Parts: sequence; structure tokens; C-alpha cells
Amino acid sequence: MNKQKLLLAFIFLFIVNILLPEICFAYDVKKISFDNGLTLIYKHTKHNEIVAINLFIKSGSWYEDESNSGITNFIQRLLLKGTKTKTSQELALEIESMGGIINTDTADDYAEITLVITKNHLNKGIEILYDIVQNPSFPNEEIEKERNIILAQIKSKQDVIFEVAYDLFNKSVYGKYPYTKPVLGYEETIPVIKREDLISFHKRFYVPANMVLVVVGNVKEKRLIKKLEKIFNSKQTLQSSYLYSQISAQDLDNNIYSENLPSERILPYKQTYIKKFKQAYLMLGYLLPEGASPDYPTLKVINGILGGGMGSRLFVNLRDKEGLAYEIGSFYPTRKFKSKFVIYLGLDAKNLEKAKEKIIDEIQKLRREKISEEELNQTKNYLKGTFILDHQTNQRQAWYLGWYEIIGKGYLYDTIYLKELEKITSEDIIKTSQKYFKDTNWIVIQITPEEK
Amino acid sequence: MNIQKKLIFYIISGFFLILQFNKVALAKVNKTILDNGLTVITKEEHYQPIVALQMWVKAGSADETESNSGVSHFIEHMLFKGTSNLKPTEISKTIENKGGTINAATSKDFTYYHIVIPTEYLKIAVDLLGDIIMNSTFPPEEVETERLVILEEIKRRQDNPYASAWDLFNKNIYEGHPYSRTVLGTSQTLTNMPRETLLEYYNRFYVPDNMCLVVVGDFDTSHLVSEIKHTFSNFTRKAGKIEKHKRIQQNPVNILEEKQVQQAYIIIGTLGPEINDADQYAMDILSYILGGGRSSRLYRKLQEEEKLVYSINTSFLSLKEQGVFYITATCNPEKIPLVKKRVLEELAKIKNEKVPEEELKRAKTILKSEYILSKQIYADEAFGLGYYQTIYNYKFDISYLKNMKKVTSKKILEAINTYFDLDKMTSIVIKPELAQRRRSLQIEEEVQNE
Repeated sequence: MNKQKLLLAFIFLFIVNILLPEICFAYDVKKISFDNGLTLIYKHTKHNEIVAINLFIKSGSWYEDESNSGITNFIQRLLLKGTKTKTSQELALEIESMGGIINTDTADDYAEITLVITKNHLNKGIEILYDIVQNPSFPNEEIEKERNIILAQIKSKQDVIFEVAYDLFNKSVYGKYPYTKPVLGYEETIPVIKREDLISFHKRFYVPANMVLVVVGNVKEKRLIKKLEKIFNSKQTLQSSYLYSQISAQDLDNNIYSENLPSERILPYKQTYIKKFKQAYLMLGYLLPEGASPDYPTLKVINGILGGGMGSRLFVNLRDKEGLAYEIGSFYPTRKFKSKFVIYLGLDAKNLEKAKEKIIDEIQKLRREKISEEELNQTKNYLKGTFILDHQTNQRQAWYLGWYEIIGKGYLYDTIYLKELEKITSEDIIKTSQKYFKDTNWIVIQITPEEK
Repeated sequence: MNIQKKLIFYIISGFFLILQFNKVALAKVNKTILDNGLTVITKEEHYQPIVALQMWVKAGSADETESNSGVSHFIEHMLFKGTSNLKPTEISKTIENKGGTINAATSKDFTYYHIVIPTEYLKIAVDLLGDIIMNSTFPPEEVETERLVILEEIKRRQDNPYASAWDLFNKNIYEGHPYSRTVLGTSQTLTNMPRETLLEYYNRFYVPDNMCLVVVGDFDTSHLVSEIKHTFSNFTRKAGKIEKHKRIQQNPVNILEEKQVQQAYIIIGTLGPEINDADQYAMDILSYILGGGRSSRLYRKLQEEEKLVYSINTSFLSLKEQGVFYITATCNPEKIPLVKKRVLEELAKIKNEKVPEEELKRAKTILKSEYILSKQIYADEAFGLGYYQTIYNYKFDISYLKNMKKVTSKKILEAINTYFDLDKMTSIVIKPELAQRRRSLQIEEEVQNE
């Protein structure tokens, strides 16, 4: 009897020992709320000592207006330039002494601070991150330095034909919609942003209730929660794991800006600009739905078919076969609110008309002809491969979890996205193309060189 | 406990210990040399369902001559242009249709071909790599097309100020050594290079003795090695050619060139140890202390405090033969003399005083962090193993952290004084032509006045 029990126990332990790592890996992502409104997304990985911490703030160009466009990026650049207790140099020294790397970034839907450290420095890392985000000192000298750098960046965009075309395209597709504004801001708005403006914008948006903190690494949950509770002076409330959560439609933002949705416009819309470039440029596109839309994965596949990599239709048919463009591609950026589909080409002016015709051909093909299983699978493989390759590091895993949460798909979408792609059929492609890519609602921006 | 129970307890514990031991063993690096001389280095990693494969060839610009300069890189292009089994367009597509990536690069000491692919398509990647390495046919029309493409590449490189500064620096610091030549070659050598030159070089260098296949990722080692053996079974053994060059002396020149650029580009440097010299680690640490990050000496002094530069960095490049330690900076042309002066002052300081323990510790911490971070990406892990196996021994990469930690301030001081003679540094400066400078100043004024 005893021997049998022992044998069974042995077999059971043996199996568990083999399977345990796999089980743990699949479900170790949790979303935890705090009573101050802070959201924590935590993924326990065990294969290295690295801890990636991404702090997302629901700020960005969406939350700006015509008078303060660019203020989020301005603030982000200043966060590392000094807190109430530490100078820029002291911060750099502390972070580098941990072997840590810190970066800030700004996008349409969010502002982001990322810190990568080894797990033995977790406590210090969180302290520094908190200090940087909550207590920036906005030194006057640094403000002026950054102001000049940002203005130089805005100016130098004028030298890059893609940037010029893209700004024009955004204006045309969005009208007065908040996404029209570039993240950097405008030459008119940056010079007049005052220190008080930075402070009050920071006060309004950089609050725990507006933050999503993502931690990916070999850190025990209890230890992490305890530290966060202490630092933020707040208590953990809810814990939802294994639940598919989405940002609800009650998101206040949607209501505030609904009257600015691109309303009836004269579509199709075409505009030509003459600029001091030697080449011509073409941008053709459509208004498309937000990331939370059920059509999102299908649209991602459509983007893959048209412009995903060197085997895509635009690349093969317009560049490889016809030599119509040297720079060509398409993108459908994932956004919290209304997004867009953009096909872009850098080409010789003489090929403009032919290129436009060919693009319209390709769009029509999408609407009328069923894609072959082979091509559909190749596209899915391409999207799958890109996704997996971009998930190799703790840092990128942290980014994706926070980003999906911010833009309304919910953090768990990161684990189901690939399965969603698999489900897309050739019928889905036709239906969705017909729904969004109509003959009547495209927008074209073209840039032609000056006459000599 | 009676003896029976004790025995069972020990057997069970022993079994788990063996299991854990196996897991550890699986995490190790495996090296095999096939019968035909091909070295195969593998490391299993199962966190991501992908595999990184890299074929490293001991052929680079250092193996070239004045007249065939650029041949290694030309061949790199041609290996995507057709084999006895595949048409040019099919090579990249084979990998990309499976969600993988494929590319290649050429340098002074090597050419390498790299693929990353989802686990389930590993065999396709092994076969393709074998095909392009063993069976490339160099179709004449494709040779001519690529010749034009590379000539364009050479032109574009000359328009890139960072790249042309680097080329100018190498030309001077490595004068008298093949490392002085560019990887792309020159317009002359590319225009005149017949297909026969490519074939001869390919047959001479692309032999199993001269190569190393590195695979890191989600596979089973024994399965993979037998697949590799099968794919490369027709790769016949031929003696590899190893040539060593004479050591050169420091070339104490200060070169100034004017170009159509917006700012000034400065590179100052000195020759350093070969890869088999243990001074490597001291040089890496020195590079962090001087110019790695915002708390480094040169950054603090020249960028933060005196605002002399737009950017400043240091680096130590480990090569098979003499490496190079260099400082790069970009600045307003008016500041060039002062920047050079300050750099030499900082070098003098570090030559005379031992580095304080805290600073040394910080540099080691950053180096360790970077090393660990890079191991997350299988392709980067493979790169470390492949690069060091190609120029020396893959074990260098594995034991890097252990050896780096041992470096003392005393060792660093010794290394600096071995390799840095401040009267004999090599420097290059590329600055804007006079007309360009006036235009840049005008723009600066406009920005300030706004």
C-alpha cells in the first residue's frame, strides 16, 4: 500500500515538474487596481533577471487643443531634467549606477516612461520612477533648451518629404478631430507654452487614476504590491486575473469629443501641393475605426496583404514589377479613437497618375476578388512572425500589455491577437474592404516638385 | 524512517536532481565540428517559439587586397541572387512567407548570413542557408545588376556624414593594414571586378573549415544537429586559409576634410589590443567610464557642463587583430579646437589617476546590464557566440562577465598607459564647407530670435 502511494506521488510530482513551467508561463498576467485609481498590469517571467517597467499616462496629442499642441511631448522631455530633490545629473547617476536604462516617449494616445533594471534594484527603480513622474521641477534653463530642440525638430520635419505629406494627410482625413495635431506640436504653439502651463497640464494628467503601470520580470507579486502601496500611498483594491477586460464605452473621452468627429465632408478628397523636393510623393487613404472595433484584426490582415513586407501586393506589383516607386508601403495604426489607412509612395512625378491608377486597381481587387488561401496564409505568417519577433524582450512585452490596455482592447488582447488573426477568412477580407474602402470616401494627398 | 523509505526518498530526490541538472545542461552551449570541418554551435532557449540561425564566414575586408576591395560584400549580395535550386526572388520569400526574417552583413573580419524563423519552419531555414552557402550560382545578369546597386550604395555612403567620417578614420588609423579599407570597396574596384574574381574568392573562402553555423532558440539539439549534418553532407572539406598581418604602429595624423555637412564630425582614437589579449575587458570598461552614458566623464564635461558638443560617445571595437579605441563627437565647427583640447585633457587625467572604485563599479554594472539585456534576443545571443568564434573562440562570450568583473583600477591604468600616447593620437575632422557654415549660422540665429 505504502509503496503504491509513494509511486503515485512520485509520478504526480514528476509530471508536475515537467509541466509546471509551461502552465505558469501561459497565465501569469494580472491586472490589479489600487484605491487611488492606479492600474497595475503585472507579468511574472522567470527566465532572466530583467525587470521592465512601463508607465503609461493617458495623455498625448489627443488630449491637447489648438493652443497647447505639443505640450505633452514638452513635459515628457523635461521629466528627466530634474525633480524637486534631484538634478538631471543626479538622476542620471542614480539610474546608471543601477545599470538601468530610462526613456520617455509621447504618442497620440499616451505618454510613456520606460525603465529597465535588474530585479535586485526593483525598489530603487520604482522610487526613482515615481519621483520623476510625480515631482518634476521644470527648471527654467532646461525648458528653454528643450524648447529650442523641439522647434528645431519641427523645422527639420520640413526636410523630410514623408513627414510633410503625413501632416497634410492627417489634416485632410481628420479635419478638426484631435488627431490632426502632430505630437511635436506647431511652430506657433511651442514658443508660447509657459512654465505655468507645463505645471498645470502635468498636475491635471499625471495622476495615478490616469496611469497604467506595467511590470514584467521575475518579481514576486507580494513584494511589488507592497512597494507600490507604500510609494503611492494607496491600497490594492481589485485583482482580476484570467478575465478578459476591456476599457468600457463609458470612457469619458469619447463623449467630450464626439462633436469633433469627422462629419460629412466632400469626399473623395484630393489635394495637390507643390514643394521644394526633387521627388514626388503620394498618400492615399481612408478613415478607419478605432482599435476596439471588431473589424480591427481583419483590417490588420488587409494592411498586411497590401503593404506588409516585400511579398505584399503594393511592393510586388508597383515596385518590383513596374518600378513605379522606390519607397512604398501602407499602415493602419492602432489608435484609441478613429484611425486611418495610409498607402504611401515616393516616386518620380511622371509616374503619379499611373501609380494612382494601380493603387485604385489594388483596392478594387480587394473588394471583388477572393484572396487565395496561400496568399492569406503567407500574410498571416508575416503578421505572426513580426508580432513574435517584437515580443522577445521584457521591455516589448511590457509595452504591448500597457498599450492594448490604453487603446481599448484590454491587456489580455496581447495573448489572443494571434488567434484572432487565424480566424480571418477570405470572405471577411472582401466584406471589410467593401465596408471601409469605397470609391466615394478616399483621400489623396500628392506632392509634386516645383517647375524648374 | 526505516531503510526502505529512506531509499525511496533518496531515489526520488535523486531523480529530481537529475531532472534539474538536465535543464541546466540544456541551457549550455554545445559545440560540434562536423566531419567536413564545419563548426556548429547551438544553444537551446525555449522561452520564445523562434530560432535564430547564423552562418559565419571568416571572410571580410581584412582578407581583401587593393584590387579586389569589396569582393566579400559583393558576394554577400550575390548569395541572395540565385542558387542551383532557387531563383533570386524565391530566396527571401522562402523565409518571409513563413513569418521569418533573412539578411546578411559584411565587416572587416567576417561575413554573416542570419535568419530568424518560427520553430515549426526550422528545417526550411536550415535547408535554405545550406543552399545559398553551398550552391550559389552567381548568374551573370544578376552580377551586373548588383554591381550597379553597390555602386549606388557607395555613393549613398559618401553622403552619410557619420559613415564617411568612420571610413576616413579607419583609412588613417589602420594605414598599412587591410583594416584601413572600406567594406563596400571603391567605385573603381567595383566597376572593374569581373565575375571570375567573385567565383575564385567564393571557392577559396566559402569552405566548411572557414565557417561556423550558430543556432540559438527553440529546438532540440540532437534533432537539429542531425538535420544540419544531413543538409551539409555534400559540403566537401577543403583547407581554410588563415592569414595574419603584421602589427602596425600608431599613425599620429590629424586629418581635416571639408564636405557639404551641417555640423562638424570628430573622431579621435588609438590602436588597441587584439582579441586574444586580456586587455579587452579593461578597454571596454574604460569606454564606459569615458563616454558611455550621461554620467560618463566626457558627456558630463563636454556636453552637460561646457555645452561644447551636440553628441559625444566612446567605443572600443574588438577585432581579430589590433582593435581600436575611439571617441566620436559632433559639434559646431567653431568649437573644434576646444573639443579636441578637452578630450585630450580628460585622457590625460585618466592616464594619471586611478579610476575611483564607485566609478569602476558603475561601469561594470552598466556592462553587465547590457550583456544580460542582449541575451533576451536570440539573434543577439547567436551574434555574440558567432562573432567571437569567428575572430577567436566562442568561450570568450560565455566567460565575458566573469572576466570583466575581475578588472581592477590598476589594470585599467596599465592598459591606458600601454595603448594611449597622447602625442600620437589619430584624429579626423569633417567640417562644413565655408558657404555651408554661413547658412548653418544663419539658421541658428533665426531659431534664437524667435
